[in-house]
Amino acid sequence: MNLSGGPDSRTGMADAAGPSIPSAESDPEGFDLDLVARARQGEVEAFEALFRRHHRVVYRTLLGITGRPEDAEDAVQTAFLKAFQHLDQFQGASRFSTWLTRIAINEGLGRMRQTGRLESLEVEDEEGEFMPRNVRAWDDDPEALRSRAQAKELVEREILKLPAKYRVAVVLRDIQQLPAEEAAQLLGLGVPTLKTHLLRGRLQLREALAPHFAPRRAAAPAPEGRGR
Amino acid sequence: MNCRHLLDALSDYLDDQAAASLRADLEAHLAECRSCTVIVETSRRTLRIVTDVGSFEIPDELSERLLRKTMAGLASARGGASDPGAGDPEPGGTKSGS
Repeated sequence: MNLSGGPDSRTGMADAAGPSIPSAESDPEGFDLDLVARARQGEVEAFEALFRRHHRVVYRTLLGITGRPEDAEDAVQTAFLKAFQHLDQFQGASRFSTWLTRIAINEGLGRMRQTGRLESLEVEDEEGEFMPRNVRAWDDDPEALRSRAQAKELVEREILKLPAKYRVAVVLRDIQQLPAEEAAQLLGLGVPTLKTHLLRGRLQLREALAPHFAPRRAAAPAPEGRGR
Repeated sequence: MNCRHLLDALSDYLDDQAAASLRADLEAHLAECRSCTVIVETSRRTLRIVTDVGSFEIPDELSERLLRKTMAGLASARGGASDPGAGDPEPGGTKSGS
């Protein structure tokens, strides 16, 4: 089964994809719109193609929100089914991926609230927790200290430990590479709030990685203003 | 400019979104503050590692499992199952929870 979402994923739909159909590579948004139109007509293969193209973003978004792979896995299915059932509401005002990501975020936040694991996405006064404590320089090539697989496991584990509101900011900005404005809009936050969450998430992640990448030696003086 | 100011502007600086005048002030501070230099450099490396290791890439087995579950759910829904309770997914549907 080809899940790449690229041109090969159109295998099996080639008969329907004539020369006037947008290309996934040159016109991804037009390609999505064509798939949406066909899925609205009940063409299951078109919906499957949409899934193939976008499930990675949906899964990462949900993992960023829930922090639990098993929850994210369940929520992917629900988010796509909701998207399918509400395809008529997609007006094309935004990219399909944005619309779908918004559904995934609503699904993820809803699950978090239902289980009492998310009280608010707003900024709270926790400043003292975000002052850098570890100010030792890292080794020249910290990534070389570990295999890529080890580093990946470490980074993913530490990201999942972040509080949800910081974790989702890091996932949307630093993993999904969404612009701050789009990430903020998707979360229903102002850009300054999103940036505060992102900063705190990045600082917590840096703090968590530091012991693994900084050589053991005397610490440099802490920055002035620490603890204020 | 002090360490607190630098920390406040750190994300914008790392993302190359700091205004030129702010960037100049930050770099003047960095030139004389080793701790902040370490914080900036290690934060930059943190972001690079997050990207380089392919955080949360999905293995093919998981992709296949997700696809099978979703398509099975779709088949069930099309077979007459009730609406699972979707809210309005259009813009504005997301709430902050505050």
